[in-house]
Amino acid sequence: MSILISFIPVFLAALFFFGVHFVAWRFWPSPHPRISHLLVLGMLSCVLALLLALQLTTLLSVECLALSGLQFLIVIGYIFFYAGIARSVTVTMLIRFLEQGNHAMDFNEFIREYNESTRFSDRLILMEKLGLITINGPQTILTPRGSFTARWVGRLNLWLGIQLEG
Amino acid sequence: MIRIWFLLLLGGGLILALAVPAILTETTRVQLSLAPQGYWYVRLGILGWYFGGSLVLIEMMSFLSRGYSLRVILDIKRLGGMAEAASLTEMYGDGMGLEGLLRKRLAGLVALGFAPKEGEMIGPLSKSGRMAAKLARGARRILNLGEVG
Repeated sequence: MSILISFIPVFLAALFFFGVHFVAWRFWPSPHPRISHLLVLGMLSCVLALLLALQLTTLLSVECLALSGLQFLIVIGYIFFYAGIARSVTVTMLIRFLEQGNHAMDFNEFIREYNESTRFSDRLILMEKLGLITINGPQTILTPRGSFTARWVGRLNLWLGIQLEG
Repeated sequence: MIRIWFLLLLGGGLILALAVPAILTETTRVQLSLAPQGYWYVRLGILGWYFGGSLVLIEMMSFLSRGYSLRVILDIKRLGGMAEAASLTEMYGDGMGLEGLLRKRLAGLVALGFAPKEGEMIGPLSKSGRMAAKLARGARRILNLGEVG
């Protein structure tokens, strides 16, 4: 069998992943980055790659399983990129500087704009939707889930030798 | 620390890429009843799973070291489990504050060569900075991503 034909399952699974992602995000927008949804979609596409490889090719199961590893790499590589696009303060900053065109920008002005915007409060609202905090007027209160998350983040940082600087 | 992990994982991947042919010898191929080209699928697949897994680990470590929301949770915990939003912006990152966060992120952009800095004046963006910004802006528009970040 032509080697190229053997990669068709990966191509079809990638098409499925990006197609559903684009349509869902475009026509059902949400302020939530929905990274977990994207992960589930990605894993489904890996299973699809495996099933298509088993059905459409004469490859052995071990070869099909190996081939789905390529789909896994594509999915994870994209999610890596997406996480930066969806939530990164750095990206927001970069886009703001782009809007200045050929002019330099006073960084203190950017800081002022950022502080006056709703970006921080939007993030708190997202964290409330995730069940990590409760917002009660001006007060933000850590929920049991938030407390549990904080505890485990501390432990993981200790094991991996990383400091959470923010 | 993340750079060290990244280099270790990359090194591991390179060693794996070199070692796979030694592990998957012709004898092994015949034993597994793999066709000659199936051998290559297995090699590619192993590398795919390995580098995909490595990216997961790197992303997790990046999140654990730079996570904005995670830092806010830790700050609230440090303040006794309850805080006012206004004090959170001042006390963010163990007292660094939001301004400190933004300056830290800016330092990253400058280090990458995306944005020149002279005193407090930033920009205009370099060619690579403009490309990265246009790509990011285009992706946010196409995917209808909200203004979080």
